[in-house]
Amino acid sequence: MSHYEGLFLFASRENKPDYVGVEQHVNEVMAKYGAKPIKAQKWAERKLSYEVKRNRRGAYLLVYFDVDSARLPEIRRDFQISERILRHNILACEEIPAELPEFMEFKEEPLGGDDFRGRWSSGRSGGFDRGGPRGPRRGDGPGDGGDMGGGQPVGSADMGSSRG
Amino acid sequence: MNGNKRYSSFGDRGRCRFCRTKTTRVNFKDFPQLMKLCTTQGKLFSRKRSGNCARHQRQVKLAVKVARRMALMPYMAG
Repeated sequence: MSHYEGLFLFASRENKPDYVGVEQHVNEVMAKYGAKPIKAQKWAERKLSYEVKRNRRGAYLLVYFDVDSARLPEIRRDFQISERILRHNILACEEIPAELPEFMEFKEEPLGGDDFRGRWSSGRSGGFDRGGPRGPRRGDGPGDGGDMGGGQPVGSADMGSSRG
Repeated sequence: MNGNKRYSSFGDRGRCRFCRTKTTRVNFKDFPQLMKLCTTQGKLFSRKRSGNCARHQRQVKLAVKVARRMALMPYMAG
């Protein structure tokens, strides 16, 4: 018997997730395969990052349980088939935490909101990503002829005239 | 004494954020922190950009994939 941590995503219709019903459903599935639920906690209720089976909002139930590792594939398969559970994730954990995380209220944070610029930055503006428009390219200016030496060297006409 | 303190803080600045907090395992449930390591499109920042060490960058990679699957983070945004 090993410790496992399961996170279950289910639909939250009209912002009223049925935690009790889903917890009962999870316990029934686990009991079928000899698993022992130890702790269960409602983890979050939030707008999903993308639609899952036409659900825009979802709720998460966090369950810690003990089970024989040989029965785990059957449990995973049952949750995959289940219509009440949209997604699930089961991970092995070394020990069950004494204090479960509290119900989390998430604010919608944008991606890439950190201002850390990496170890190579000196802290000034610029560095890895300047964010502004790029400067003029080679060949954009009127006097630029490129690398291949298409332009006439300055003063070549004078050199020719001085010889003659 | 002050000089040493300044020196240590300067050294910490370039270190991996997970090494600084002595995180042994990056957890996918801590997705607000994972979102800081992604671009506005939802792609993972490089090590050079995020400042992560190789070990934690590998853990972040897996954690982001699990968080995406659980609809905590978008596969593609913006």
